[in-house]
Amino acid sequence: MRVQRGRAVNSVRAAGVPRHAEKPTATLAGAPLAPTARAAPVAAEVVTLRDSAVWDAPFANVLMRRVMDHYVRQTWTSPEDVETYFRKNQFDPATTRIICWRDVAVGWLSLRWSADEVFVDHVHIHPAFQGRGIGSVVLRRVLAEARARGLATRLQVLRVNPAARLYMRLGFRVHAETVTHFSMEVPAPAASATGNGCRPGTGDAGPRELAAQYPDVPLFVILKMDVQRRGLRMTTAALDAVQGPEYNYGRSYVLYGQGEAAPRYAPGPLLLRDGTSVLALADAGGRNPYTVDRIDDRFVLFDGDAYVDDVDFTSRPAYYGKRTRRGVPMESIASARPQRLDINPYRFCHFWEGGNQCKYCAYFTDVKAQERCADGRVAREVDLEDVYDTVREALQEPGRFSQVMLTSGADYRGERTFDFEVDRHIATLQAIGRNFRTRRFASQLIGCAYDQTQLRRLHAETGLTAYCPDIEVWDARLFEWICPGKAKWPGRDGWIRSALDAVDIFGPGNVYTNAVAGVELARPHGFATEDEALASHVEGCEFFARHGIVYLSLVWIPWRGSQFANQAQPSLRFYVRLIRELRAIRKAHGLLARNDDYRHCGNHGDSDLERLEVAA
Amino acid sequence: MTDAMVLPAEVLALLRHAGTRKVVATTGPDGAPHVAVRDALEVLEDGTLAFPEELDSSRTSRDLVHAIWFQRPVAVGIDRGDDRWVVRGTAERCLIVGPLFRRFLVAARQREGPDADIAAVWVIRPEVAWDETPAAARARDHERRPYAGAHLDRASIRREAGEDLDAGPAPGRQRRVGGEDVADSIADLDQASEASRR
Repeated sequence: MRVQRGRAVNSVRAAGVPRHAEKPTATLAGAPLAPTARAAPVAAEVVTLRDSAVWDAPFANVLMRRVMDHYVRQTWTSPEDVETYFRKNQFDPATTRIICWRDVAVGWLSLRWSADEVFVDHVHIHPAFQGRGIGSVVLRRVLAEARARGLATRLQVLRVNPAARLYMRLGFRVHAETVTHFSMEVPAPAASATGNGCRPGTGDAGPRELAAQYPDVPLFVILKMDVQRRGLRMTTAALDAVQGPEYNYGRSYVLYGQGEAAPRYAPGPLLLRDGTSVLALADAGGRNPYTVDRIDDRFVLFDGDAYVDDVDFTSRPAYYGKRTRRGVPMESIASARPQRLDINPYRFCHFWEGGNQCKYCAYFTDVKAQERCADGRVAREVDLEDVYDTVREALQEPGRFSQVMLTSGADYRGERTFDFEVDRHIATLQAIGRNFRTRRFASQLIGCAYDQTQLRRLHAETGLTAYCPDIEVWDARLFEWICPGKAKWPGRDGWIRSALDAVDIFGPGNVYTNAVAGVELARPHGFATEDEALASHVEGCEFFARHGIVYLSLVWIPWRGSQFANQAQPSLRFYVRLIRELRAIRKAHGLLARNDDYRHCGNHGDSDLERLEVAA
Repeated sequence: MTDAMVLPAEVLALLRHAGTRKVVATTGPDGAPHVAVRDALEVLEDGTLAFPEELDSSRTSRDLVHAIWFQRPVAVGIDRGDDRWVVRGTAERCLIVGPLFRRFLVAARQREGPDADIAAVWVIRPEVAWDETPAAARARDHERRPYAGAHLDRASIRREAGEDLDAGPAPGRQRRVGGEDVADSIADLDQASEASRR
């Protein structure tokens, strides 16, 4: 092998590498750090991966051409075909990590993670560093992570590329071939015999096993999180049974799921026997969903063929099917959880403009479906009189609602950031408030990061009792990546500041923040291990709890339509460990999540655990 | 899910009587017992017992959550004068919405005024019931342990000085236990006493 490090580096730099990308390439240029050919294999710990950025493109594309040119030309003789190959295989920063040897960029790796596999799109090592075992170190890590997540690892390699031998040594086997390529794979670990949908090899287990291992966490709560995590599908018999007036939730409820109008009417939230509601209606496709069947006039939950428990669905609210004075279907104005009336006065998130939406978010992805759900009467902005009428009618049903929740798409417009949104929420809360004799009424606003003036207005001008600016992702680096809109308007510090300021106004225990638990493990930039993710949540919860703020977790679902669709979720064990930690922290600080408890929200396993608290 | 046991007819009659006192007994996560009067408790068509809880933060609510989560038994005491029964069962379901929840809420408001409220309706699945009337309890005890525990100076047992050996228990000393005359039992005891004297 001919060592050509100087030329390679020079060609990259000539292509214009930005200053902060220079360090690794400049080091590569320095001969003292570069190993000579056939030197001793490198130790695994000196091989690291770093995130890539657009300015890595020259380095990556030049390196790929340098490494692959010979084999591509052996495979295709036509210059057009050769160029097509390289054009199709351009570097993509979203999926690529830079392989470093002692902080020197020596190659790159591109992976695509999906629900059942990780596909190795590219792994290229600079010729000067080949034969050191760097590629083996990197691929062994990929294989280990895929195994831990219960996934197959697959790749394609040109038949003429000797790298296929390396892949064979690492355990890949050819499972298909074409004239030009071998398709190779390391299969997923053997399927679990328990049929519990957990990923074998992760140390994960199904709900019953985890309930036995964590005896302080009830099976009901674990089951609820697993249903959220894996999704739910209904048999025809079960779906038939919810078409009538007792359970029919119309089509609006699915707005909470996939943003799709269901072909038939859907039921409301699933209810477990302990009274907990579960927001998991959508058929989640490849996540091994639970099944609800209808047997002898009962709804029955199955995991595969195994009976799990009897369940029920939230009954249809009496105001569904009625119309406001303006003729708008009331269920399009407010949707109902078991004890909570949810109102979304503004059905558009401005973060989606310019692609700044949170990467796990799939709301607002199908406006046409939302319109169908409401007979075409859904406007981007809800009319205040429709809100008043709907709440008035909803309160006619005895004991149906004990809280009103407001949320909407983020709207950063206005003189101050979010002024438009705050004005809208104040007007909506005032319209709701006309239905009550008391100045304050049990209510929660899941809003954006408002400043002190805006928060004081909300408190002074409305009957609002609780405020919830969701941080979603505590880790600063991942917050920037996953929530680019929030990172911009007004930035992570602004979101934290808003929560802290709100405590002075709404009082300790009346300010909440939610975390989309598990999303911090998303590929390619997320934490490498569940332990790291857990530690991050503990740090966030501790921080907020010290200031009287309730930090809650909810199960991350990689919705279709979100940028994180098809990402692998963490194990169920992760969620069990998480809710124990968060509950313990809040308990130590005397905090209870009464606004987001099992009756009102149903999304939080950690607040469910507080049901064992008793009034003094 | 198994069917609820069929409660005895006298229990069902007691439960349906307006003047019957009903008490729910639970244990907390720390094992501490707790009792609470829940007169709104009623028997449902499927044989389960249901009653409303006004507050989620009450000890009874907390204990019932513990019971349904960790399979702890729950007891219901039923008392109307001389008639007392105990039903032991499991916490079967917690309802926070739906027709039954609404029925109990409406009933509470009719009973206590329009501002009355409930947080949940709890459903108990009976597993065993027994007559807890003192006489019935004594009869069961005597059946199991005929000569243990009863104080020998009780009027039905101890013979006064000069009392005729053949006279049997003095008038007024006979007691009814579980509806059965216990004179035979007393006679047995007398015979046993005689035997021991010999």
